[in-house]
Amino acid sequence: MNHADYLSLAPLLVTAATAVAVLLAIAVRRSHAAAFIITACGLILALLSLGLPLRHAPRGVTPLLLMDGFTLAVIGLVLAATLGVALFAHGYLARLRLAGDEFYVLLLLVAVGACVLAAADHFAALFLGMETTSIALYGLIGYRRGHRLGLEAAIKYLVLAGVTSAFVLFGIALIYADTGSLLFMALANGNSLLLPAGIGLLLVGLAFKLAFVPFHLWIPDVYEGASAPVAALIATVAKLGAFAALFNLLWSVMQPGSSVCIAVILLAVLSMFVGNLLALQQKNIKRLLAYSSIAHFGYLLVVVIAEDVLLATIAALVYLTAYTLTTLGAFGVMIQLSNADGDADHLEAYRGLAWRRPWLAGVMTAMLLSLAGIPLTAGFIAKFVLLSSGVDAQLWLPIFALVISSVIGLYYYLRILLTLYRAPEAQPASAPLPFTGGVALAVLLLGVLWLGIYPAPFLTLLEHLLTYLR
Amino acid sequence: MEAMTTQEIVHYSIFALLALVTVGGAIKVAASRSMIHAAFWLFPVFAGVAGFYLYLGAQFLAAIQVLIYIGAILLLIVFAVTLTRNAADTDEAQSNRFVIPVVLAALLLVVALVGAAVITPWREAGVDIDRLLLAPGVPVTDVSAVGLTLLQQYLLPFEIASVLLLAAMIGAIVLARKERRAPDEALPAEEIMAHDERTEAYTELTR
Amino acid sequence: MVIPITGILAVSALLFVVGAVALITRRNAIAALMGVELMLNAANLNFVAAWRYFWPERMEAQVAVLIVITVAAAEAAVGLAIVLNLYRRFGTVDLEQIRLMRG
Repeated sequence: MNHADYLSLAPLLVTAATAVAVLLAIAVRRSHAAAFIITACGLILALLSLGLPLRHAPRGVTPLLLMDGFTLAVIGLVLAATLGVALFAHGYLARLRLAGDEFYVLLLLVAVGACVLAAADHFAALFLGMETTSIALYGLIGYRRGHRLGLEAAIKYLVLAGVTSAFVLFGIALIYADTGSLLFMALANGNSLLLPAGIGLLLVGLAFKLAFVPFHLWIPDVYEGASAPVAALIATVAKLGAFAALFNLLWSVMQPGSSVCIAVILLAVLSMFVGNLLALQQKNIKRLLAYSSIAHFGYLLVVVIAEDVLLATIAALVYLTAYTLTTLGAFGVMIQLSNADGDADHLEAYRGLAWRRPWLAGVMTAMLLSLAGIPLTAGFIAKFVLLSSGVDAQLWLPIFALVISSVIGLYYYLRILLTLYRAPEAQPASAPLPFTGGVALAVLLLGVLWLGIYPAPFLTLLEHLLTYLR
Repeated sequence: MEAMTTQEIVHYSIFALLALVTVGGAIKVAASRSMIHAAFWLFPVFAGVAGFYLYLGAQFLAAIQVLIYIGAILLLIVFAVTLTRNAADTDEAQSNRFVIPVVLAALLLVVALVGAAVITPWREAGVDIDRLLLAPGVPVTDVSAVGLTLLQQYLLPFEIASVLLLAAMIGAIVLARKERRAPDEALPAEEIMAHDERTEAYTELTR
Repeated sequence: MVIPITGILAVSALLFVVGAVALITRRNAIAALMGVELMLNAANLNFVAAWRYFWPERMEAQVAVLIVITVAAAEAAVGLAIVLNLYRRFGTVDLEQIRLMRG
């Protein structure tokens, strides 16, 4: 490793160092405020340090990690999402009077794991990134120790992560037996039946992790049992890392018409329909968001099978950005409404919100419209770019499924929307909006609207990033 | 069919013994009614895998396997089983309703995996292993080679693994520490009673 | 010699599948963890066999096994902490009885 290698790893190093700094601060004095400030500053610093690897990209840092345009963009998203969760968690932990310091350490470690996943170009990095993310998440999901739902969610996530790692690892072992290499590139040139068997097991493992149908059974329970900020973290940071890894991995094996391609199309179509249909009857917002995320990642799978690399990568990044902004925003509103009595995850908690808390209701409206893919929001642009990438590759079946299932999706998003504007019932006054959470919500709202109304600069930026850094 | 040489007979019996211990132990783990029996059946599995490592020439890994799997993980599991033993548990059926479909699917998967391995035209190396074992210059179990690979090519995963261990440490502390404030969701009274009754029943039984 | 690699791969495939069966069908949370350990051992055995038969001059597989053992130990530690907590709060580690969430 030399100078340029360290510069290329700067965002990861800064994030990991921040985790250590928070630990040291805890050793000196346990203080929620100090831990929060160090975390926020560290994450901002890490985001700024994204400029350092830009000069050297694309660069393989040891055979393990590859820092190219796509990876850097995903790492930026991961760090920004972690910062958003930290801002929301600050007010949440204070309202619940939970000890907050270790929370931030684990939060940062999840981010490090997700960054490693996004940058992985080697199976060792894939496995380690995945495990770092899950092990840090166990602690976060079970963070409220007295909370029984949290523990149930933790054991479910534990079993899920165990299955995932076992499948992924066995797949890797078979691939190694065939190709003798742990590089992602090895997938392209196998010479025996062990390779397809390995790829199949690997795909099953990653499908568990990303909750594609039929490997999705764990996700609603884990969202519901985890506290709202942790659910937001699972929905954004953990999924971003895993999806980036899947994307990098599959590009090397994907040929139109191959069995992998057919399997991916099947996963995509099933996830779109089943995710949206299961969400229809949901009265619990966390579970509803869980099912909706299944559908969204089903849509995203379309880019994995598209042919044009540049177009597909742009589509993936735009969609991931829109998804992250929107999901974080929706969870952000939920977090602001949650207090020591429990998370505001039932539909009834949102009844008449527009009369009680017009600002929060406004943000929630924008987020729901964006999730549904209504014009003038980020969700619409994202879906549009995604569709054009799919049309370019002539993937008619997934596109057809995407359009139909989006229409089904409209129904349940609009149902929440109507609830927001129904006549209020007597509800206890909730806590005032804390400064940190307010700032984060405002930024997310602006992001969703800006991306929806004037996306051209963002798209050009991505195009430059991807053309020059490949 | 030609007669086996003595060497072949030795190799096959070692392999058969290891395979029997490993797979047989694993089946007992999956099928034992009592949890404590299942936990102890893990021992032959881990030891059998260590035996395979030795047989294949990876002595260092065999030592690590014994140290970590048998010395640490198995011990942790046995502890956890004894700490969470329920007087009622041993009599209940220990498996859920999925047994038959899952076992069928599992058999299919085995057939597919072994089938893939059988059909595959293996390269010559598989035939030549004995020559490899004896050939001069080929490092059969060079621990220093493992160390060099780990700390040169694989320095970065080594460091990421330390981040992972940090996460595990903090996670375990968070999960195991005492609540630092009044619990927000104390157990409802009747459940505390039920819990106490069960603990009492257990103490009765073990007395 | 003698033992074709298929034999060792078959043992590891069996180990993996038995682990998966234990994981899915056993109701006890600790048994599920045991299933995961069996599956990870199967993958490790596969790595070592591949190293021995095909790439004895490269140590990648052995390093991979070391990493996996590290991860397995870390996961077991955190996992059993969760299980003990579960027992303290629910009075059982039976996954069928720990079902507060539905829908």
